[in-house]
Amino acid sequence: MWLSFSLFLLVLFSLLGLAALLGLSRRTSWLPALLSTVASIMILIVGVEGSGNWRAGAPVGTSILSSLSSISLGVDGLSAFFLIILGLIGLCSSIYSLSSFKHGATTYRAAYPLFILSMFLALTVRSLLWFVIFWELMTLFSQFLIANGREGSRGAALRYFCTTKGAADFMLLSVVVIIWKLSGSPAYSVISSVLPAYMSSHRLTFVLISAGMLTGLGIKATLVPFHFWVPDAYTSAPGEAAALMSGAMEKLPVYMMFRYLLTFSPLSAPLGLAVAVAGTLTLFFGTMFALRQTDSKRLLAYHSVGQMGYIVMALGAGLYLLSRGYTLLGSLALMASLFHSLNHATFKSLLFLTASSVYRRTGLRNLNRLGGLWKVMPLTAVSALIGSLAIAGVPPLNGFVSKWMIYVSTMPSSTVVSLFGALALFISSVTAASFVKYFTTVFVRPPAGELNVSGEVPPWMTVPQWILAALCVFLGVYPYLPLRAISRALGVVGVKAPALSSFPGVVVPHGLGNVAPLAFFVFMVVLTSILLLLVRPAMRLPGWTTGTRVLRETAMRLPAGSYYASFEENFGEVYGFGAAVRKLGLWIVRCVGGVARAAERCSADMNGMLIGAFVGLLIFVVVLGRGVP
Amino acid sequence: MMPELSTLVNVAFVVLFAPLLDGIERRVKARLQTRQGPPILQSWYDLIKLLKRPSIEPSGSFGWLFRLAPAVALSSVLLASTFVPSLLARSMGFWGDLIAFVYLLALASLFLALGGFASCNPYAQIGSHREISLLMAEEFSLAFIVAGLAVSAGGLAFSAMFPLPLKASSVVGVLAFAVMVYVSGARVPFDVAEAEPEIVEGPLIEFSGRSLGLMKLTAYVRRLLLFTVLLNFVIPFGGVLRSSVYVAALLVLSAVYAAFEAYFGRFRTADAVRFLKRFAAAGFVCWLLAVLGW
Amino acid sequence: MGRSTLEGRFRVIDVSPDEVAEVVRELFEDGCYYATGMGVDERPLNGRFAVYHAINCPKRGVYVILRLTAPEDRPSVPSITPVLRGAEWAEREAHDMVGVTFENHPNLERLILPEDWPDGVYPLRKDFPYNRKVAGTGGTAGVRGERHDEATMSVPLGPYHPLLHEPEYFELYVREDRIVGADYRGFHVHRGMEKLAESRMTLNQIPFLAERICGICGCTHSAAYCQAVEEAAGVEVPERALYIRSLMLEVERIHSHLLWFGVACHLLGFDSGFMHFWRAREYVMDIAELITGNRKTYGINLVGGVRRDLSGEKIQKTLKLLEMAEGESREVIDNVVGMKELIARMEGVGVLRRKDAREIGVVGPVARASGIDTDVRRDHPYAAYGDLDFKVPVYRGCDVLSRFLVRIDETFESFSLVRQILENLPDGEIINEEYSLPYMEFGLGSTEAPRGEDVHMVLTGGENQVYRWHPRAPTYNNLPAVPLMLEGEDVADAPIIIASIDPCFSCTDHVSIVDAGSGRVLWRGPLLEGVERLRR
Repeated sequence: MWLSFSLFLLVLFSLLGLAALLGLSRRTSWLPALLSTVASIMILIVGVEGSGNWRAGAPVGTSILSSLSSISLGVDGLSAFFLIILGLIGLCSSIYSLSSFKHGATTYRAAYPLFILSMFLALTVRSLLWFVIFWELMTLFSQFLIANGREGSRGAALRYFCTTKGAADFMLLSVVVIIWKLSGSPAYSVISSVLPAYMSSHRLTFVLISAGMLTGLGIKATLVPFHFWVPDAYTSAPGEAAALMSGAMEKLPVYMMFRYLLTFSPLSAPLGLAVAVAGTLTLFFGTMFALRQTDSKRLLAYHSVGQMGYIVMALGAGLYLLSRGYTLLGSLALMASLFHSLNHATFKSLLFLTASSVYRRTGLRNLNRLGGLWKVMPLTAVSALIGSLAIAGVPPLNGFVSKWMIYVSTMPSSTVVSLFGALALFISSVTAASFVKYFTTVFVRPPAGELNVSGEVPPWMTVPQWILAALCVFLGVYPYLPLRAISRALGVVGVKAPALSSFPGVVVPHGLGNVAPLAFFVFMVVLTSILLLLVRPAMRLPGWTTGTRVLRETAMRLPAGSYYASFEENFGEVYGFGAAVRKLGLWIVRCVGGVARAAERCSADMNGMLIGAFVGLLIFVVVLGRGVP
Repeated sequence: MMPELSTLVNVAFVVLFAPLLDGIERRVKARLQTRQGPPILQSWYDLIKLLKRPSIEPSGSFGWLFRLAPAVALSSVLLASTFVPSLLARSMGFWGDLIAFVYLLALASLFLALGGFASCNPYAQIGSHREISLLMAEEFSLAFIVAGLAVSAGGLAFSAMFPLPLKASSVVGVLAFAVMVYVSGARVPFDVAEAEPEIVEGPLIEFSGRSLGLMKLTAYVRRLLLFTVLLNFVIPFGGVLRSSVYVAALLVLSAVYAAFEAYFGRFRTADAVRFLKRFAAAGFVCWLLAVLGW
Repeated sequence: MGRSTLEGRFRVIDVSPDEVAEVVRELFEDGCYYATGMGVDERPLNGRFAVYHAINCPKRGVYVILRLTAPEDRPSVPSITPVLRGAEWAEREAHDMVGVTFENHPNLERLILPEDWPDGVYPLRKDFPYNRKVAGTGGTAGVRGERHDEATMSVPLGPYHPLLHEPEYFELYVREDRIVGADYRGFHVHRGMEKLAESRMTLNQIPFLAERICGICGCTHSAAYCQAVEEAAGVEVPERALYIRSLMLEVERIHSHLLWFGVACHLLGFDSGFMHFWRAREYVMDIAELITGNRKTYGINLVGGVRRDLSGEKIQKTLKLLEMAEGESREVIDNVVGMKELIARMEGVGVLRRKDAREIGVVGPVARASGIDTDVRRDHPYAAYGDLDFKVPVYRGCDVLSRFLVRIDETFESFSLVRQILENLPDGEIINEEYSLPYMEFGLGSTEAPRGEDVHMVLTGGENQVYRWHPRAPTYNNLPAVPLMLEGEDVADAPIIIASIDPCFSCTDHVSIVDAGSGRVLWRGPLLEGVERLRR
């Protein structure tokens, strides 16, 4: 088995490496995209295989650079699940970039495949140290993706760098070293056998390590109050990069959180609660802030933050419930967390791709000025509608099913996580409202002035949108496939997934909840079609404006800033709090920024930094590799 | 009786009875205003008249979404009526639970608003965004009530929730839910989205003929389903007794809610949101009682 | 003790163009406000155009009429709008209809005539026959959206809107649920009354025309007109007639206010209130029918007196109906005032500060709600009001609630006034038809209509006709205040704010140029287009 795996790795590395090199050349810009597409397909296959066939916890070892160190790469159920996500999003993003790569800079095109590669490696290494190294690489390459975007990108990239690299990675790195020192080896298998017992007896170490680890991961997972790098970063990054980042990169910390919280640390109720609280704060504030936005990509960025809150809240709730003895509810919550990761990746990347298509054609992200694009971009409009409905959690799409699982696992428990579930239910309506705004301001109601739009985006850009839209429907209507992969993933971390009755509905035993998305889908499609036939309009007449002739139709449209104004006024305390936190965050960034600027003065340009980083890491590897048994 | 057959009976009952309830409400309100009022079947007559007429589409509108909106809205409430037990206790219960119910009703509201936006009419746009502001505020209150009831009943499926166990938390929850039923039915003072003197019927302004008929039927069915869930929380028995008590209770509830409506003026959107924000406290109390085991 | 012409009720002063601004400023600082103004084509008489500005000086109980003239070849006078904001519309109207130019006027645009009316054609000039047909030039009225930017939305309100019972057009500029500006364009209900009265009607036919200016407040218009002619001709009106006139004016006030209360409730979403108020109002309609034979449009005023008398039996029946009306009204009003959410929706909304109110020259309940103590019945007593005892309610809130409270107090004062009149009705004749009509005599009659001061100016003509007739309804002075009241308010409050001035657009829009006889379309304006579309 290892033979085929190493062959596979070789092929993958060469594909992506070649893509990176080709990216540096200006001529064949679609070739790197094509190669990345193929690579993503391969990653997807590995993920599916991993969920299906390979035994849980049976890694495959391969020695690379054996004279320096040994990196064992392998795929178990948990990594396989996240590899599916990576492969899927990478695939769609890469197909999209077939059209859009030619607009990017060379560093962008080179960094893109390497970004995918670093994420793949981060998911497949079996050692915490190597995980951190590839994590750093991933951050590095994503920074190039952001920096090569449009206006304001350098500022955004710097803020991103300061936050994630400076604060987070130091923490992460130090924690990793500590863990390694305590357990003796950075390999997962060793850590998971030694650490839990040690930490349950040394409470202080437990708290410190967990705090550090979760802070480090939390920053990347866009948890409030560390989320402030997100809006600027995602706004500057081109659509497919933002899709990849919010779809795939944000899931990596979730992966490590699962591993850490369930295999490296003992089951602890306070820890689970803390994670759940962090998640709840994130979902609440992230979405409430999103409600105000009038820039399409910024709105999507804040929603990324909010939805990650759902994932983390479900994870923490699951942990808490398991430690309190509610096995059914706890495992269900963990399943929900993983399922929502997959779903979020699908609909969020879809939405980022649509926003990017709109930007490509109109040059606008300002929702106050956009409008009426359904006439010229119908394909994008329909996929955006499906994406908006999916993130809003409309049955029977995928967002509904994972949110439903979250509610069913949290609400009936007689614990405080029930409140978190209630807040999640409320925030789901805010999400729906926000996406009604997004969809109608971009595609439906008239624009502020004439928009010069030549037409729909090229097919390579609509196809991935439709693939993701179809997935949103499929994953919602037929959730058994992903649920099976999730069960296997949970098995890796030692959680027995509950047996949910399958066809034709999802039924949680003991009267906790039941829903039949397939039945919903069939019923709605049939009845809606019948009613549509009934409602065919007889004629089209000018709209009613109380008898006034309309000289400027574009004057009578609702600007994006006016949506939900009274609602936002009444929840003003939320926004006041947010403003205060933002100030704190900026202060932190300034402090760290000072340090970073000093470092940057040493390396004059981005390319120099790249080389410097590689050299530094190489040294690091050699020095530490010496000490590894 | 086979679940499929009883579901069919339930859905038919819901469709037929909903306009009748609206007729009763109109009659009660008229009498309280010292008017004669229309006959109870008037809402049916209006619906039939509407369904006979063709729909007209505004020329600047987003055509297929405008047509899709009433179809999806009515389909979603009818879907909800397949698994909420109304006249007969057995239905496709496993198709959905309370969360599915809440979401399907929200789906109907969402598509009402989307249809309003699709018409590109300025009043429809204003009315639609108000509709959604209200939806958010309602969900804020409702979320706590649902959580409280879930804890009290031990689950979200109808098998656990219908009827609720007799506890203090259930009582508070049911009362709070009764208020939410009033609010959610767009009754004065919460009919902000369709304020006739202000924004000329809001989202519905461009719908006519059959489309309007479908939208109105959706609104009636929504109200009926909300009453149904409320009654299901409390009716503990089954059989013929259940059906008769259920129908009688529906009539009484309609009359009572209509009487309330006659005594209020309309809220501004901001006032409505503020009220709902504060009302969430009731839901929270229900939740607290439930968690404490009462 | 017949009181017909009040010594010094008005004084016509000829002023020269240089001193007019100073005079106006002095008058304003003395506590006067701009009542109305009219342009007159006096070319057949003296080859000049004349402009009459009527300024109401309540403290001295007199109207000061400033008369400016301009030669035929250069029909231009200085504008007094820079000094007195309230003159803006009157000057625009004179410019529109008579063709007099006002120098330094800030906004000399069309007011009355539609936008596609050809330039240089002035309907109220004596050389324009009343039945002349004019072809339109293709209109440009409509939703202009001039003040809209990407964050503001234009919301058209009218001319056909459920909140309005008459057609008018407000264009609201809305930002985030608040109104940041409003444009008003009215005068959709043009009927050509001034021209008709001057060209086709006799002196005593005009009261009936005047009554049809408005459905709700017709009696006050006919009374004001009759008073204007009576002043000009020096007619001595019998006392009994004056009492009967006052009686019908008060009955009209009651029914108008009750109507308004109902409409206000409806606009606030409280339909039950609407129904109950109008039920109480039915008793008042019955009173009117009992006394005059009509529920409204009483047809009771003539120059020199009234047409119908009251018998003792009628008086008894009226008093009984009055008691029931007052009882029911009090009950409904107490209920409504006790509804906190309705009061909350009116409090602090639609504010018009006293300073703005004075400058614009608002009248009636709107003025009294902004702390201005003015009432024509007390300041310039007419009909029987000199003998009667009543209070003038003044509130300082300046908001919609204050206007509501003012009208409540006025309603109950009116109930008391009706009782006083009926109990003290003097004996005597009901009409004096012995009078002769002088030629080119100026007369001014003013009444306190339910909506405020109603002023009619008349220039008598020969052969039992009038040379010029200019009615100015109270809403005309109140409308310019509406955009000010709307600014900064929530869109949901727009209906109640517009309604709080109790707008009577039919009253305001009395002027126009349509061939009332044939009903033929003379121009395509927005109103007609809408009607066309509906017919399809």
